[in-house]
Amino acid sequence: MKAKYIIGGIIIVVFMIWGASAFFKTTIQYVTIEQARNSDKTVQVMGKIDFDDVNYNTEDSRLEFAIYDAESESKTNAETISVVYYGVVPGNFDQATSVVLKGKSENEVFVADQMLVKCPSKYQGEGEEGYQDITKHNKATNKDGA
Amino acid sequence: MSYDVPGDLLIFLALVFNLISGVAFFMTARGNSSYENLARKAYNYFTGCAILMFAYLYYLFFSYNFAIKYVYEYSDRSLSFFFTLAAFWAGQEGTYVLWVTLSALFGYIILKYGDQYRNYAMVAYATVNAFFLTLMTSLSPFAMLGGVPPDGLGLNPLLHDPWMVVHPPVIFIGYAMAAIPFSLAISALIINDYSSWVKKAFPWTAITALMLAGGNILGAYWAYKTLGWGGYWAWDPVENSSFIPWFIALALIHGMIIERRSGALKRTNILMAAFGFILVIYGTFITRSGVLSDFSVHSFVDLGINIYLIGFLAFYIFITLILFLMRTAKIESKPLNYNFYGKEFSLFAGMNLLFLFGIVVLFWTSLPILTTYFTNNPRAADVATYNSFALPFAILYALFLTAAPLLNYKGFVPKNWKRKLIISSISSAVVGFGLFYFVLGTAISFAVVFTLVITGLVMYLMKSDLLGQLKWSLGAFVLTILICYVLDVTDYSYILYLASASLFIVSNLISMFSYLPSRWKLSGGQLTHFGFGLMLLGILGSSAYSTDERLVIPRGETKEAYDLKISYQGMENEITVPMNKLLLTYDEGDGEQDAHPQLYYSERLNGIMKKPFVLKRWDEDLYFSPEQVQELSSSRGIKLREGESYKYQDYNFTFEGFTMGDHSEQQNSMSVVAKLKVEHNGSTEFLEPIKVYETDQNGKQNQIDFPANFGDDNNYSVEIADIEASQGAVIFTFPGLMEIGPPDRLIMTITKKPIINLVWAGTILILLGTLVMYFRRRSEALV
Repeated sequence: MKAKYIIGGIIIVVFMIWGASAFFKTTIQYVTIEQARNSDKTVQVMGKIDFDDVNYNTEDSRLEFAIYDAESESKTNAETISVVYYGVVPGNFDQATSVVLKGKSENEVFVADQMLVKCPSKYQGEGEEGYQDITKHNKATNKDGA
Repeated sequence: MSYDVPGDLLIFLALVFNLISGVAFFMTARGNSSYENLARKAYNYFTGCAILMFAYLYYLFFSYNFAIKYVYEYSDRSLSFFFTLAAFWAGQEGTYVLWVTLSALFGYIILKYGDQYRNYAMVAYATVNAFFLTLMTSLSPFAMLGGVPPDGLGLNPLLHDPWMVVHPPVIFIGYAMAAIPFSLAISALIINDYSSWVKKAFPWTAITALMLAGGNILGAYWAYKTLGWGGYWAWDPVENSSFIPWFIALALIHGMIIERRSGALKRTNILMAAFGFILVIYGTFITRSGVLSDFSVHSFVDLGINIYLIGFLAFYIFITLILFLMRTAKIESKPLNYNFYGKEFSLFAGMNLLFLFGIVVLFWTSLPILTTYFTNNPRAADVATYNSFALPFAILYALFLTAAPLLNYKGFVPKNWKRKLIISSISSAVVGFGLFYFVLGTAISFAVVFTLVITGLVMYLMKSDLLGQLKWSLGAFVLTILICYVLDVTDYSYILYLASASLFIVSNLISMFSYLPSRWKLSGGQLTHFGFGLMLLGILGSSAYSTDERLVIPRGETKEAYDLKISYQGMENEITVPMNKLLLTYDEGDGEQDAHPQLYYSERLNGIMKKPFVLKRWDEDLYFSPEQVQELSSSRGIKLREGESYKYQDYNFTFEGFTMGDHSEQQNSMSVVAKLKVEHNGSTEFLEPIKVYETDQNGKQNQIDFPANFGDDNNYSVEIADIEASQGAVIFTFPGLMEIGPPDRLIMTITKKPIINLVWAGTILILLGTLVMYFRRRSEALV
């Protein structure tokens, strides 16, 4: 009985160390734009795209743009950071409300290796075109009822 | 919101009958047997309602009733019969209908074979059914739009795939089945009788494991074949939410084998059965509630059902813990045989490893939720996080599974084992930590695994006859290390992994044949373990040793990648046409074959879909993953606005303007005359290429070009390729002077994935083994 608890205890301790080591080495932190600029680790950052500053180079598939704080209404006075992304421009990039980027800062430029584009969702709930209004209306009335 | 009367009436009636049935079973369980008839009848009516609901939703789909929001959102008139069947479970609401219908039917298993556990188990089961029905009242599949659109939005193009038609029902059979061991375990706690619930729950736990494995594999295969990113597993929350209950079910199977054999682990099994099901609900919560919407590539939307999900989750955890704490002192469990050389210990170790890995995945999947509450910056686990656990775990699985089939239940006690254990574990810990952590500078996990591996091997080999039985497996172990050395595999953790996997494959292969064919019913474990070993090899081979080549192929040209010649002939349609195919051919040296990966923009998903083409060979896959088709501007010629100049070699062209005119004799034609000044070596000439548009009697428009010649020998010409009247611009081509390039080029990655077929072969064996397990345990349970 006693040996059982000792072995169990050892296993728990090992897992805690193992977990803590993985936590600090491999997990991805969600940071603000300011923190992303000053961090030398791979992080995840979210922001709105500054559409006045998008540049795509087809030769080496390099997309350059800037993002600013997702909480801000406009880019003036908001935290911004330049982004470089190698790869194909996602098809929904132009309609993106915001992007989630995974990558690392290098000399104040955020080099993203993964990009998740957030769009007004059509996956669930929202109808399209003419029927959007009806669904929205129903949602509103439903809220009143509930 | 307006409601569809028959549909929502069915939900309401199902809820009422389920409630009556639950209460009546409770009264029956309390000794009031006069309620039993009512309970059974109410349950029959509830099942009837569920089946009607299922049939009615199909009726709405096949009658194209787009006034129903769910039908509108997931189907349209052009959808084939087969995919309309699948549209039923394309969204959340439909999957709840599927789930509750399956659940209702599986309830009869408890009714028929539940014996002393039946009544309370049916009460617990009624709360499970109530869970889905409550969700449906808030998120009704029968909700109406408020108008009748002429057509629906259609099915998500990614789901136009036969594998995706069967994947959800398979997963949901697994989810629904998990409620049977749960209900029996709860009932056992309530009536304080632990004698035979395991026997009764066993086959259905096997089916849960089978279906969750099958569902995960189907989903993985679909992702590999459809999504074009080249992998089959990404540790995404959606995948994890069915992976976790699968591993808990596997752990429970190991615990149940022990309990059936020796009466040990009674408490553990109760808890695992209960929490296995609770984790199914938790998986539903994390994937359906929208809590992970910023953390996953899947689209999660908050639909306002969180309160129900959290409520039921809390309810089940509370009930399980309260009942367990009340009864734990009264559960008479036999002690476990901890003999290291006994089969029971290896089963126990297997159970713990499976359970722990399930918990590890659960923890990392939940990390964003945990860190949101406890820190300022939430964190999410990366694929690297999961892999840093999966690799050492796989090595440990492999080592325990090597000796497992050779051991018997009695066990064996070697002389001085305590002293030997202490010496071997301390010395291997010193070497392991020294080597891995300080010298090779890698993760602590490998130091731990190395220590355990060496200690385990030393301990096992102390039992002299095991050495003899393991000689072939040890041979494979050594041979794999040598092969790794020859092939220049330098990552020691991969070598450790590959060598342990081959060790355990050979050992299980040998023992598997001792059961086949006459004692096949006992071979379930061997088949599963052997398949698992093959899968481990396949996973590492196809991911760590995959290579890729990026190709840029202009239209009409041929490029080489690996031993293939690949040419690109353009696209079948425009990129905006759903399922648009790329026209490729590849040549392996024995003639050209067609390959049709797809690349198209989906308006519904608001993104570019890239369906790969997979060239399957017996020993590897070549995975054609299209990235992009780039239009090449040079192909269309030179665009000039009025007054603009363009210099090419020693020619200087200036566009002076164009005139449009009607031809008097033909009313339906129009001509454009462009005026182009050409300066060359000091001489100037004016050229007037003409383009005539005419419409014939059938309304078809034709273009006739009249190019103008120029140059020293009049060997060059200029043509109007196109007119952009809105910009006042003309696009010129200069045949003879400038060659017209291809209109576009394809950018594509070809990935070579060695031994990936071992993954699929392994998974088929896992499914087969679990099925054999079911047949064996069913004959014990159904008496």
